[in-house]
Amino acid sequence: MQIELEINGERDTYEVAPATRLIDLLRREGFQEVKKGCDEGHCGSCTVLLDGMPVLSCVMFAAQADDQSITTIEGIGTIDDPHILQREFVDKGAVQCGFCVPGMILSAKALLEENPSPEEDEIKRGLDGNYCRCTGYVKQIEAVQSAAKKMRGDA
Amino acid sequence: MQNLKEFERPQSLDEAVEKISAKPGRRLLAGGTGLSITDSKTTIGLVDLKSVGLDYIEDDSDAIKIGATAVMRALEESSLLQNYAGGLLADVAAEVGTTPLRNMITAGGNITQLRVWSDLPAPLLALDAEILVTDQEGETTYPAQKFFHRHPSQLLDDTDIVTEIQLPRGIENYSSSYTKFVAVDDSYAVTSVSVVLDMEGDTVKDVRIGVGSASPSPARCPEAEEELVDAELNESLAEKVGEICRANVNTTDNVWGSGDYKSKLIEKLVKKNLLQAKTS
Repeated sequence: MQIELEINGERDTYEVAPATRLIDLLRREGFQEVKKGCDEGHCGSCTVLLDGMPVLSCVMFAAQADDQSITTIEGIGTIDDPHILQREFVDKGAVQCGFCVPGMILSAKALLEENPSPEEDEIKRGLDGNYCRCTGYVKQIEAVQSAAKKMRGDA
Repeated sequence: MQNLKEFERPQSLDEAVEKISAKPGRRLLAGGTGLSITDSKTTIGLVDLKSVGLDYIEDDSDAIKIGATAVMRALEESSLLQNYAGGLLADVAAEVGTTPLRNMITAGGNITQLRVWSDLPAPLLALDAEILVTDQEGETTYPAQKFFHRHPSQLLDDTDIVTEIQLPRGIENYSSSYTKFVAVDDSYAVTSVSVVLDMEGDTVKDVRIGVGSASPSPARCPEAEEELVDAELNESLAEKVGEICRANVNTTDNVWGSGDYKSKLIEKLVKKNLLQAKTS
């Protein structure tokens, strides 16, 4: 079957089998920044934004996303021109192995779009779907707080 | 899903009924969080309910109506649900899964599949909700007590579409309290207890207790509820009622806890939530 997706701003038609999950389509089409971790809906490393909302691409069929927009981590910034969140994650030392970070930054981006001034508890809740097995989340929460400030123009 | 060959996207409920009834081996798809990782050789087609218009939460004169494809996030953020019976169902939805999963898991899927993350059934029992189901013959309304009496798959045919949950009028101003007992924040419930309460002074006028995840189907505690009505709710009565509830729910072992442990939890959580509902 054919589905139409807008991935990181580019609309295209994709051929998928009905059983294909979204993560497998994305990785097959070269979006390997979408990480496959637990592959069953727990760890959050496969998080993408579907029409702006974080979802887990490993526990949905690709066809469910038909006619919607998908944002991966590469859709929000580049090495030369990173998103404020990406820059703050680096500057605050919030990245160790980095496997969880694409999903975590996308969750943070969705959070800050809804709530530009989140309290610490709200950040914890916004990132609750993204497991990090290296850190204790402290630096990541700091990075989101700092990015929120900069995105609001307070710093 | 190696035999899955078809993916149907009906645009109306009528079309969904037609598609699901057309061939054996077709299954309904809501959020997909369970089905997408289920290995089924017998599923040859999926009927996606996304576009049939069931993602509403509406205020109606006779009930609050929750469409089957409304997601947990929508329930959690609904001011209608936040203001209904102490916000019980919004509180429950807020503790299902994690943020991305709450954008995916639907009300209909959560109550029909009875998976380990199905936290909605027990509070729906306590709220005396009704479940609407549509098939080729028309619409059937099931009281929650009947819908959850056994696993819903024993009540429903493969072609039945759960379309709506209705919350009754008249209990909007009741208070409530809920505990989902978990090992860590986003793991599955070992046991959950929901209490819905109406008081006049210190006297109980009406009360419902729902117990989730402790037994194969969610349970009410009618013996405990009877003990409470027209009585003065204090700590010793709450404790006694916890014991009654413990004795009347047949708990079963699973990987999250032994039946014995869940029984002890029921006793403690019923007491705690009765006293919390009284003061909230």
